[in-house]
Amino acid sequence: MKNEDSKTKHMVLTAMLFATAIVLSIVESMIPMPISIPGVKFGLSNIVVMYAMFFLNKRDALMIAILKGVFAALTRGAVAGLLSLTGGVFSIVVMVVLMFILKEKGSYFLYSMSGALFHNIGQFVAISIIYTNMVWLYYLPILLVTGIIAGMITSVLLRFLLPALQKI
Amino acid sequence: MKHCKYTLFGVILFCLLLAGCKKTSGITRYSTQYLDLFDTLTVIDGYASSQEEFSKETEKLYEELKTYHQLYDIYNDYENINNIKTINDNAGIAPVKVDKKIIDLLLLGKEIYEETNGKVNIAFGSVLSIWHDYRTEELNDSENAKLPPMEELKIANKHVDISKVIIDEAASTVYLEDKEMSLDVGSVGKGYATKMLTDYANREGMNHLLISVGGNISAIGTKEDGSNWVLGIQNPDTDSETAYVQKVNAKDQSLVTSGNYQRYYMVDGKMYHHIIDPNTLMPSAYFASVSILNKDSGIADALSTAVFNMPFEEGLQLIESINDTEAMWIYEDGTFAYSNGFKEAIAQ
Amino acid sequence: MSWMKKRDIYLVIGMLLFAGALYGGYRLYVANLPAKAEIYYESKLIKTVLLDTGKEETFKVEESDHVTFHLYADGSIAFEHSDCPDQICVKSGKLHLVGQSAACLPNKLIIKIVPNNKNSKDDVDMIG
Repeated sequence: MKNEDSKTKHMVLTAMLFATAIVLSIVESMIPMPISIPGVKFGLSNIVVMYAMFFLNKRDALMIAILKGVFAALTRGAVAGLLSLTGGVFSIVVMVVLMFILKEKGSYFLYSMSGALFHNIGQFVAISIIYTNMVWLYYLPILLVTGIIAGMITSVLLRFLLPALQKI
Repeated sequence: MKHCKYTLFGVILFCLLLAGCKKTSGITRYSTQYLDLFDTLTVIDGYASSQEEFSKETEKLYEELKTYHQLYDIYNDYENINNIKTINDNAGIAPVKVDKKIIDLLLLGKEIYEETNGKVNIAFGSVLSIWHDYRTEELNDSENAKLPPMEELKIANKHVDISKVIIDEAASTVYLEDKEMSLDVGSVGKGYATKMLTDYANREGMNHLLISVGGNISAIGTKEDGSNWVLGIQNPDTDSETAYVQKVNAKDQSLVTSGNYQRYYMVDGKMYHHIIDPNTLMPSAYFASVSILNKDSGIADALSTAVFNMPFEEGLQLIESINDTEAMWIYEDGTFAYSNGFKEAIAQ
Repeated sequence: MSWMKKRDIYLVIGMLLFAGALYGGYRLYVANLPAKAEIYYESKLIKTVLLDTGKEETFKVEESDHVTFHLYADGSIAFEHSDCPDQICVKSGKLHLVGQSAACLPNKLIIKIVPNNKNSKDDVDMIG
């Protein structure tokens, strides 16, 4: 009985997180970016994925990332879907691997940053595959810097949001 | 002393290795060039197991091409040969008995005239020869280079009626009814000869060849390993570091470019090239170059001249109306345009 | 688990230095190579624009009526107008350095600036 209850609760929570992720990505698209480069985003919706990662389980996080990709594909076309998906999956895989290696020795900032960085790199890999011959030497520094900034933003936001979210 | 031995041993081993490398591939790519045909550079690339063997093949091709060169010549006489100059010399006098190779070329010329609304006219010799004379004069005296007076061109233009080229296939004779007229096969001759040379090579079982007669390229078969030949489309800006502006894959395909950079002379610092628009009697000014892809080098050659002499829309319409034919236009400012199917041929 | 460790700061500094070095290398060796712009539609190259012609013009490509390009006399190129909702392509601004690119994903168009000095005679079998 209790098991059933938590299963439902779990499902609802995942669905809500997914919805939040969608809202955040819409909000993000309204924030003007100083430079727009394919694959480079602050990745606000990553916060949700991170939350799922830390406080639900990794499978839910992956599920949200995949759903995000499907949603992007449905609303903005196959290319956007593919970009979202590779970005999401890249960042989760990297975070999971890091967590597995570092365990408690890691930090929220470190995971946020790696997540954000590899979200960008993942998207950029997808773009490179679609539009062959991108010049890595030009994009890698930009991806690194924006990844660091995005990581800082997500970890700061998480820091303030987590206490509130944990009550759910 | 001991060191010397080791060094010698090393050197010998190294040489053996190098020799080994060379031997293993067996078949090597060779290239031969001729400068004396069609007043231009002829290049033949192919594969053979040795230079001698390659020379044997190219020698045959050279001899074959040479017969066309002599038959289609409008400036020189050759012993015991009636060529196009003979026909011109006998304009208004008598029909001239000529080789079937000339008859076939002239028939093609007439056909092309119809298809291109007269933009390619083999009976345009009277006008073209004036431009030719002024161009060659510039070589001797570049200070005083002049443009041909429009009056002179207009008078010559009264003698360009292709219907007055009387071809008697049965008797194998050609007669120009107007004694002021003359043939100039510059727009189709090289291309047609390249096409006939391609057919000859195929008959002789030469399956992997690249022939260029003055940039009139015919890719026969593929490379030895079965991959496509890769042809470059010449950058019309010949001063540029970039030799070509686009790469295309070619297999049993011909690429012919007509460009304003190929033959020209300068008058008062302005460039006047050799492709004369039959409507204006002046060098055609629509494009810097037009390149045509077609299996038949003769057709490609004629079309490149025709399309060079037309506005883009008209040329595009013509190209799209002919099967398996593609074109690339390059404007003076370096921008490009392609026919609909051209992109499929582009090599990455 | 802590929020941030001293180690993270070193890591960030290291990454920034690395990024700086990469960018320096890029500016030094790649950025100012002679360039041309390639325009792709659905991942296929549809147009190449030489950038150093000193011409100023606005043009469209026949594959898509939704986008207008602008070639500037200073040798840069940009998406001037697009009917896509996000306008990312237009916001990308003028491109002129080798390696830069801008994409309009909704209209399946991308501009890439690529080096223009590679077209040497050795890359092709014959030129005509």
